[in-house]
Amino acid sequence: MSWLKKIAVPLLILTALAALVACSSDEEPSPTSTSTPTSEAATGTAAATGTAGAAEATAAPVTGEKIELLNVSYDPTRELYAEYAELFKEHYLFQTGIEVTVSNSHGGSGSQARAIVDGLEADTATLALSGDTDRLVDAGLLDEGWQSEFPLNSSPYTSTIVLLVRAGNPKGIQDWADLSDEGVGVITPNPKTSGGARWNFLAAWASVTESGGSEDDAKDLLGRIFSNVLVLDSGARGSTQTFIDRGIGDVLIAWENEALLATRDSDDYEIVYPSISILAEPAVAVVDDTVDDRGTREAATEFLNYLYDPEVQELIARNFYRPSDPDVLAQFRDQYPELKLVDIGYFDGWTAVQEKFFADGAIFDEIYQP
Amino acid sequence: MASHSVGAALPSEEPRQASTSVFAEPAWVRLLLIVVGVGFLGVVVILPVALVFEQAFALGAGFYLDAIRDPDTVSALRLTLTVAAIVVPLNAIFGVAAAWAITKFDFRGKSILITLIDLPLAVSPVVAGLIYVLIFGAQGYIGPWMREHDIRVIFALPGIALATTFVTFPLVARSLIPVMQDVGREYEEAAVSLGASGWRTFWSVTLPQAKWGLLYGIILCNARAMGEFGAVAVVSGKITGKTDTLPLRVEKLDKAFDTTSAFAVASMLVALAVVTLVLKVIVEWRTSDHESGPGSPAREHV
Amino acid sequence: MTIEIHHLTKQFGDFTAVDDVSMRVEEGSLTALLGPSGSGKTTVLRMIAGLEVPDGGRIVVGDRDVTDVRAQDRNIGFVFQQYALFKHMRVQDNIAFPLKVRKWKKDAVRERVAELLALLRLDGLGGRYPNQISGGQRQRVALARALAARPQVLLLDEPFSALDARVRDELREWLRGLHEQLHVTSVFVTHDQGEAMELADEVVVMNQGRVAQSGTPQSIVREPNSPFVMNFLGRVNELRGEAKHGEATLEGLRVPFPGANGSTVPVVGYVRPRCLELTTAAAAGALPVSVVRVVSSGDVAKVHLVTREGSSLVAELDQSALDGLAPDGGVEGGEFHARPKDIRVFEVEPAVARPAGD
Repeated sequence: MSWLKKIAVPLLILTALAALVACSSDEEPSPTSTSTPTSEAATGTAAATGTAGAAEATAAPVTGEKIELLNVSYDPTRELYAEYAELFKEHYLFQTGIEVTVSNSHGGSGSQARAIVDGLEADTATLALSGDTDRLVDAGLLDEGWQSEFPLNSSPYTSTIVLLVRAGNPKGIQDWADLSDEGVGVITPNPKTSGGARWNFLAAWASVTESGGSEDDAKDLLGRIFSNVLVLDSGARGSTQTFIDRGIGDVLIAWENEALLATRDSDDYEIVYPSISILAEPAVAVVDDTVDDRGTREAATEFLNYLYDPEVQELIARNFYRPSDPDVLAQFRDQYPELKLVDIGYFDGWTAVQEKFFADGAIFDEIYQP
Repeated sequence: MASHSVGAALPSEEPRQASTSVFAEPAWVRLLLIVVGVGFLGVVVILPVALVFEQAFALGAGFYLDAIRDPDTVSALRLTLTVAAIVVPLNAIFGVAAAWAITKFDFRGKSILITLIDLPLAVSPVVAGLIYVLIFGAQGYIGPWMREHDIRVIFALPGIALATTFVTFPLVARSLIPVMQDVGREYEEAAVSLGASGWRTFWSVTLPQAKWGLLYGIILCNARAMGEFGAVAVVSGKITGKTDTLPLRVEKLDKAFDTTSAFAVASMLVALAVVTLVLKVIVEWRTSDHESGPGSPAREHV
Repeated sequence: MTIEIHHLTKQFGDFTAVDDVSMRVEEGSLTALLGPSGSGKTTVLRMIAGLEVPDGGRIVVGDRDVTDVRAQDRNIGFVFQQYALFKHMRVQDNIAFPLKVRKWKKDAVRERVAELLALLRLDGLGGRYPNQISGGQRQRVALARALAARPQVLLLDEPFSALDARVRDELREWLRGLHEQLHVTSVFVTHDQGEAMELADEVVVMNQGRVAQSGTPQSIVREPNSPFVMNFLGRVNELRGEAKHGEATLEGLRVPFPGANGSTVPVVGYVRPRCLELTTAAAAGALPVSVVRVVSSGDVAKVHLVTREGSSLVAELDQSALDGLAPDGGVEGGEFHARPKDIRVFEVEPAVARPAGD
């Protein structure tokens, strides 16, 4: 029987492939033309269908006008923005009668910023760090003061750093200090190369300084934590794979959204919320240069504004980001327990952080020698 | 290089003889060699490929079909095939021209041309992609001018095709050069002395005799064009449903913890490779039937 | 068509392959270009065909100067050493290739191919591929292909070198017959003097890019004009000495040498093994020698000799003549006298050696 299956599988794939190619061959082959319409059945949410139902009642007259938007974002937001694009399409059609198709581009936050600078015509930039978005200002694509364009520092959703441990928490890890215990294997990426790793570092640092410890105490704790690090990957994703796929280590210092994703389909891990962590605020921006060039400012602005709508905030919460709307956050309390959080302002901004902690010869080099 | 195997694949010139091997090794040696060979192949090639399919079907055929019918995946497949359809003929033409020039003529700068052909093999694909960003990017040399004239190269099909062309262009030329060198000048001289023009000589004599090298090069080029990741990642812009190729799509799905979908799409790449290999085998069969069929070698009689 | 070559020169880098070569090939003749490897004979052939471009000189075929005509427009048939049959074409397509290139009508092509298959005794092989036929058959296919478009001239590069000895002999005779039948002006290149002598009407001996001697096979065998030709045409014995006043003295042997005047010049005399006679008694014009060894191969015996001055000689004698010398059988170790029936003496140093009669 298994032999039959082995033969049947490749045959099936070949047939499916042939069918796919045959089906799609009559469509416009150029990928630079209009984006492939995404099937509603696949990505539409209950909320989206609800809006569509309402649209039939009081929709603005359909103008027949069509707009395309390109939203350039970072890796983990793929599902969030795929769903949001559909939701927003209904919303905007209802509101203005204009049909807007949103395409999304995902990659490493830094390299995505680089791509926009190099000419990727993003209408909106929804990157992981405001520092990455600032590079668009340097390139003259974005006006300064962009972060006050939208509410809450232009951060419609936030995230934080948590600890992911193996099921049953065999090492009894409860807080940052436990990471320095002897015999605890810690997985985190290298702060020299990874943005996420810097958040990790700062969260642990704040746990000391916020509870009355001195900077020397903080250095001492981080020195001991990093002596427990088993593998120092270059990126957050690499660390996750080290912990999950290769099964190395007792605790992974991870993004909350990444940790939630990892526990979604598997009971092998659990999340430990430390007593204090850091508030990561991915900021969104309308790329002035592009929208002025393409005449899409209105739609792009609404695309970001609508993120703050309670309905969308729910969508955000379901996709593992902390909603900024307090009511929605309260609704999802189980998933996002209350945490004491410090933000980057606590460290006087990214420039100061870079200089103090991660430049050559700075604190990180002091406490960690490979 | 792989080109040696091309030479070996050529039909032998002498009439074949149904002789038994002169290397009369004991049976156990042969058995051992076969077991080692097949075993190695199994572990290094067949097992991983089988695992791709196993993972792809981990959540059942229904999930698999949904994954490969996903509009963004279909779009990635279409883009990948489009790129291959542009790049492979382009490189075939370029490769034939370069191989011809290099094997048949002596000219100034020949060694420079040979080095240049090898360059993409030596350069990291990421660098290859960056070269095009440097040229066509908004901060690049002609990017601003192109933007003014509304011409889009990078983060669009032309850029992906260009980067892929760069990365794959040595493959046809490199496969052809040794074969064309083997074919030897005298066949072309014979054709010319029989009254054929250079063009006619090329089409009737040079190319048919080097067709194994060409075919091999095209297959290699096609496989690489469909599978290229590094260079394409830099210039694609990674716009879901627009400028994602299959390998980029696989990476994106994998990064989103959508492992089963990632393997489903990966299995499409594997399937494309299998289709290519099947085509190659079919062409080989047909040609060898034709050329060195079962006819027993004629006896010497004058 | 005649072929005239005037002062042809060809350099390959620093190497002068062909150095001021002039010759004339008569209409309908079969001419051999004979020489050791590197003598420039193949280069001359390739220049006639247009496959190499001469650095200097003219080539005239019939009344047309073809020096600047492209190979493809010369209508010269060329048979390559390894035949260069197109492996991916059947025999009939190989033969039809020059006709199709010339845009012959289909029927005419078919007719001509059939005619050539019959002429070259290749009937029934038209549908085969080159790797399905024997070496001899391949050579005939190459010939058929070269002849197909009725070339003015047929050139063959070492036509028999790729064949084994038995096939080679048969093919030689057959090619000679074919030439007599077709009478197309033909030139072939060979390094085998036997092949040249047997086949050709005219032989051009080449050495170091120059023509050493040309003429009928008989005239070259009989009157070699230089030590090189002498040596190249077969094994020779050398006797060294000097000449003065019209006479050469070679190890005591006196031979007329009209080239010498009052001053003494070093000379060398050449005697073919067949031209050495052995006698028991001393005679005029004979050298005393002792027999070192006898190697007999049936009818003919090779007798290795040494002269008083220590030179080694070889004489080829009929077995019967050898038996006559020593009826009791013991020739080896015996003392005899060797008389050259024909000796050719050349001055040693000068570039152009002067021949002398005996």
